[in-house]
Amino acid sequence: MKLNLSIMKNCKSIIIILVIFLCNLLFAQDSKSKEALNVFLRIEEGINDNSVDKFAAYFSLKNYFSLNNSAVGYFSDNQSYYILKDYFSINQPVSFKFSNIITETSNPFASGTLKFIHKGIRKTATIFVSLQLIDNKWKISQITVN
Amino acid sequence: MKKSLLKAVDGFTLVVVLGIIIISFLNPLLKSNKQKSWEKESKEFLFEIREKIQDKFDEKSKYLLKASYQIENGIKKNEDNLFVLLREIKESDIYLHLFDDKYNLIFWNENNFMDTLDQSLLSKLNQTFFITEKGKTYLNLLKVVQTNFKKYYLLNSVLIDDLIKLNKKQTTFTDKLKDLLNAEFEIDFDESATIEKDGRKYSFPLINNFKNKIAVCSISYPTLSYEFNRIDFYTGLIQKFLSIILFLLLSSIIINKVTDSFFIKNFILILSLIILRLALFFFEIPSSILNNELTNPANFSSRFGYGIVSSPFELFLTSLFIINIIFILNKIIKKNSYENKLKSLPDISFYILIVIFLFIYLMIWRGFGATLRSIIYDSAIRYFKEFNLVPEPVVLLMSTNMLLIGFIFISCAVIILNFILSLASKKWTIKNLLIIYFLLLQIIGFLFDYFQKLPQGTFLIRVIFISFTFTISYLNLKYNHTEFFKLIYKLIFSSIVSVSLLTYYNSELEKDSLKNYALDIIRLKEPQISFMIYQTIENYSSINFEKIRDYDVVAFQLWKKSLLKTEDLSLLIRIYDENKNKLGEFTNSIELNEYNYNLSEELKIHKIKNVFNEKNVLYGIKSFDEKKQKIYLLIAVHFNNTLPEKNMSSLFRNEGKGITSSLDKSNVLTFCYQLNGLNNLSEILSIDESSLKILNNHILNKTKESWLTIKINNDSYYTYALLDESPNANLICVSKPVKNFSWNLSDFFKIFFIHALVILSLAILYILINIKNIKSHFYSFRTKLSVTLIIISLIPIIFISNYVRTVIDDYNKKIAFENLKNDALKIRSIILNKSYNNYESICDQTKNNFQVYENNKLVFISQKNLVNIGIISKNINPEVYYKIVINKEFIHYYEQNISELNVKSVFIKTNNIIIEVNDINSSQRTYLSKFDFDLFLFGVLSFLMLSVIIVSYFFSYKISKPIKELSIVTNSIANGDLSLKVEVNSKDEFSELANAFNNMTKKIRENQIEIAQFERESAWKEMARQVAHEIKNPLTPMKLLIQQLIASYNDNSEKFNEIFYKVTKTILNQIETLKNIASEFSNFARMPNIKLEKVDLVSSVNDVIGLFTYQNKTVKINAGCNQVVVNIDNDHFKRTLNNLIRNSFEADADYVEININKSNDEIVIKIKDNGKGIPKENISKVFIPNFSTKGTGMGLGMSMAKHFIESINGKIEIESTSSNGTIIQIKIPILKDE
Repeated sequence: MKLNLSIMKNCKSIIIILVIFLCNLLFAQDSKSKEALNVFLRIEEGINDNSVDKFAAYFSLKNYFSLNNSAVGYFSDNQSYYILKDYFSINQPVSFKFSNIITETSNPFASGTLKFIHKGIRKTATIFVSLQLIDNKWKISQITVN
Repeated sequence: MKKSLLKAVDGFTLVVVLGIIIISFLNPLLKSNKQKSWEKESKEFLFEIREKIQDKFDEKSKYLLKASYQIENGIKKNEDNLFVLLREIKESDIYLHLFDDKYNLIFWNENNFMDTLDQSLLSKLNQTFFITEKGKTYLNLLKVVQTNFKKYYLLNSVLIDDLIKLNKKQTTFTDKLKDLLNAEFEIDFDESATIEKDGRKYSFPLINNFKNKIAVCSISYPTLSYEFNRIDFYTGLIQKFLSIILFLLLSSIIINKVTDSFFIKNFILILSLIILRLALFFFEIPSSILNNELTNPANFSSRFGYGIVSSPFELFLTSLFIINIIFILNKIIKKNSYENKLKSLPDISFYILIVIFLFIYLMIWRGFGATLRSIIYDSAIRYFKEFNLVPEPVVLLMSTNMLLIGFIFISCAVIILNFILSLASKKWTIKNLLIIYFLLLQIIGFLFDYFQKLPQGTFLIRVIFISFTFTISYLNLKYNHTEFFKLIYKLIFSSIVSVSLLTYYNSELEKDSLKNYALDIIRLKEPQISFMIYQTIENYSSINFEKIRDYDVVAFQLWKKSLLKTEDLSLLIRIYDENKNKLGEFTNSIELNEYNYNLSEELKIHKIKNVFNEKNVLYGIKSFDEKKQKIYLLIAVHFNNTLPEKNMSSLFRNEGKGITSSLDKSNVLTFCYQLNGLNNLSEILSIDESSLKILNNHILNKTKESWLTIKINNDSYYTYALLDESPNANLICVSKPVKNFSWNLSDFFKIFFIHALVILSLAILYILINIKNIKSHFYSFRTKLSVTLIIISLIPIIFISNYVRTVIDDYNKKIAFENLKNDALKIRSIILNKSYNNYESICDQTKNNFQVYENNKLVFISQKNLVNIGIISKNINPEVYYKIVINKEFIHYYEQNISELNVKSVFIKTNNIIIEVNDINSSQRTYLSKFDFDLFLFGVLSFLMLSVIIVSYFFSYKISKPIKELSIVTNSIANGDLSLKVEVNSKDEFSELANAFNNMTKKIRENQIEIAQFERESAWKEMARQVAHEIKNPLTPMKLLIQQLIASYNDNSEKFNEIFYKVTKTILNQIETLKNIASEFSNFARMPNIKLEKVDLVSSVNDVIGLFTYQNKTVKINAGCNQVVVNIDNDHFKRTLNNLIRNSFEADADYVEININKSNDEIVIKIKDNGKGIPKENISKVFIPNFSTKGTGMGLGMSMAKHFIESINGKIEIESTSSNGTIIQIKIPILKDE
């Protein structure tokens, strides 16, 4: 009986440890998703305010851009900052909101509709953004404006 | 600056200030006026645009009418052989179709889109109308051509709009019209289109030559807010410009009025330049005005200095400002001789300074490397991959930037190195230890890089950098070259180092690109692709079918606008009707046709797993209700998850700019490796065993990524291996031959060629600016010799190169056509043997794409989508038809451009069909291209040209030197200086001439001495006679008077007192006469009078130095400024300086340095030599007349110098003298009126 009790005790502690571990794992997953969501919200805010500075910190060393075919390819963080700044100064955002945000994946992505003014004429475009984990931080992997 | 000019500047400043204030008030006024007149203005604007658009279309109609008339005449003349007309319209943009009276096509040109005449068009005879076919819209004119025998229908067309544009460079008539009018408009090319009544758009009909409506054009209404923004922008811009002008005016006033101090003036100038640059940066000038590739941050941008170099043009401006500041700093350093001041520092400070300067020097090297790294890594320009012989403006600008940056860093390094060498020369004699200094510097450079985590550049480039800077520094110290010559060699050195760094970082970037390429392969996961399919399907509603009226083109348009296109994914877009019959499709992958897709109403994403070739397919289907029918839209994507599609035509590839585009994908191998096996063996024949072990270990150890060198197909490949997170544990490898990363001479020349052009342009600019000063050089023997040498050297090189270039071009074409011919013959023999039932099987078997024509009609094409979207015509090329069908030729070679892609085709006749094989899909062209050869050729030529210029300069210098020397010596002799000799070391005709000349001068000198001796003796004799005569005159009466006085005394004459008085008075008078005679003789022998005049000391010293140019001895001037004007006797001064320099040379000196410095009240001239010095006991005697230690000479030179300098209130003294040399100091006061 004593032996059984000790086994039971051990099992309990193992189960508790396992539960804690799984919780941690889930929490960690959840926290990473939240972090990704925050990055998307920051990007959304930056585009709405026409301020690339608000999300410039999330540029990685190589970012893939495809901006209405004006700039297509991989660009360094330096280039990315000025390319987007120039792009939004020519196409001034009126409003932007991510309509689809998928964070429960290894490469979270989101897309939304951008309303902007180009030479006084109101236009719309779809923005697609995906993230990647670099050194345990979410960084922008791709921005496509179509 | 002149007072009148200063007054004008003051006035202009006031005007500018007023301008700024007025503009501030003008802005709201302009806006208010705009608001009031907006309704009228906007209508006028729209009407104006309408008029212009209609005018442009009318012009096109007229062009079409004229061309049709000419072609009609041509047809009537050449009815028997219409193909003769092809030559006449070969270069024309007309699409020509000639139909017979049964509406069949009987003649056409290269541009064609119709094979039978649509009879509904007959109602539009002689009037212009639009036809839209496969996404292309044409303006057409249909005419009846009646000849003596037959009736024809002639349809001539011009392309107006094209929805199938694969290349961004392609522009259509409507694109050009939009750019020209700077307006947003859309044209519905349908005569039945209705005029829109949308309040946001203004619609109007387009009218043809019969005044019928043929299309409807809609222009977006201009908005008032946009106009307000424009007013704000332009008024702001004017204010910014005025502010900058104001700043420039204020700076010039401060510099000219506030101070006379050279240092403060230049300090303010530097400060002004910095503020001006910052002002331009904050005002966004010129980036807000220029909106092109020069200001595009994709081409270069760095966040350095808060973005002061955020585009190629900003970098150029910043570089120019820095170069200006460096020039000013150089001037300040020269003027103040800091090097001399540093030498007087105590020992500890001296060593500390040496260490600090060394550190700065090495940091300059590091900064240089880092900047060039940024130019490669922060730029989308691929200097070596996208190079053109006539470079694009942005490439030219960035290449110039590299040159300027190189110049900046090398100039800074040279300044610091000058300090280091000057300091070192204080301790140790520079002459003997120069090589040791150089080696020490190299060792320190090596250690500096060795102890760094990320050193810049390579060992070799650092050695080159140090060697070049050391050479420039040495040349600066040793020789007194002209500023222009210094600039040229600095620029050449800068170019070599910067291009070397650029090629190095480019190869590093290519290595990085292997990694990016691998990451790109796994970048897209299933969820992203599903999402993209979902989004593309949802986008269908944005495609206006009514306007396109062709489902193939709709599918193409859907692909063109989708995210899937930007990802280079293999896909199939297909549209079915409600009976599931195919209406149209676009695909860039033949394989996707082979799958079975389940059609569904609701949008669903399906997955087909294909276990055989590791390629999965994701597809989505949705039904749409259109006006007339229900359709199903299918989008299927090859989801390889590992490797990119290899068989995709280059026409449909999305070659983006950016970091990965640096990778030349033609020699890159991508493969997927699993334990002990390759997934994709299409390109790889073998991997050796040791390499297999390395790859296996990588997977077994679960290493996420690594850089490997493995042997593939017996070649060493540099490989980036990335472990995919998929359950199969795929190792994605991207490899490139190691030899491709080695330093490439051709790459080096690509940029060096541009630099050579820039340097030559600068040289020409300099010559043009200074044409007056250097005009005489143009006619000099040396220039003529240099130019002749350059021409003689370059002409044969250019001719031979041009010949080789043509030969290579022909050879390349021959090889390309030969390969295509072999493929065509192979297909022909299969068809003749009837080995296969249909053409598709032949295509699968031979893996060759080909086309088959029967008569003039296309009956088979392996890539159907090219016909579906109208890239390839359904009719055979008329020239080929003429040659093969009419002229009965067996084979014909043809070259054409399809969507900006050069395509070579071979046509072969086989029974009643014609087979065409072309290289439209050949992504690899292994033969040496004309372009590659051109690059090499022009690179080598530019290098040769600079080398020839330098070598010819050297040789012409060598050849013309004795002539120049002879001319100078002759001038000196003419001026009375017979001591000079022509020194020639060679043993040629010049040497004989020089010896003869020297003998002649020797004889003249000897004769001159004899004559002088004789003249002196004669003069003395004459003088003695004159003196005797003059003295005799008063002496005789004196003698007589004294005799009279003695006689009177002896006679005790009563008149003795009277006689005594009279005699003594007369004697005294005679003595006075003697004194006067003596004074007159003294005055006669006295030195000539001094004639004071305003003289530029620097120019005067340079004149004297000119006399010693060819004496194998160095005389150098160091003047703090370009001009020092004083009041002296120029001839006396030159004579004095000449004497002092000669004294130095006679004291065994071979180097004399003359330093001129200006203080508040005097000019200080120091003559420093490296002679044996003056013995201590003689120092006090050197200025005494007749003192000389030389065997020859009168010893009067130094005393005369002292006499002259003191006569102008100056001072001359021996500042120091030792066995290492002597310094003589002369001080000349500055007069108040100077």
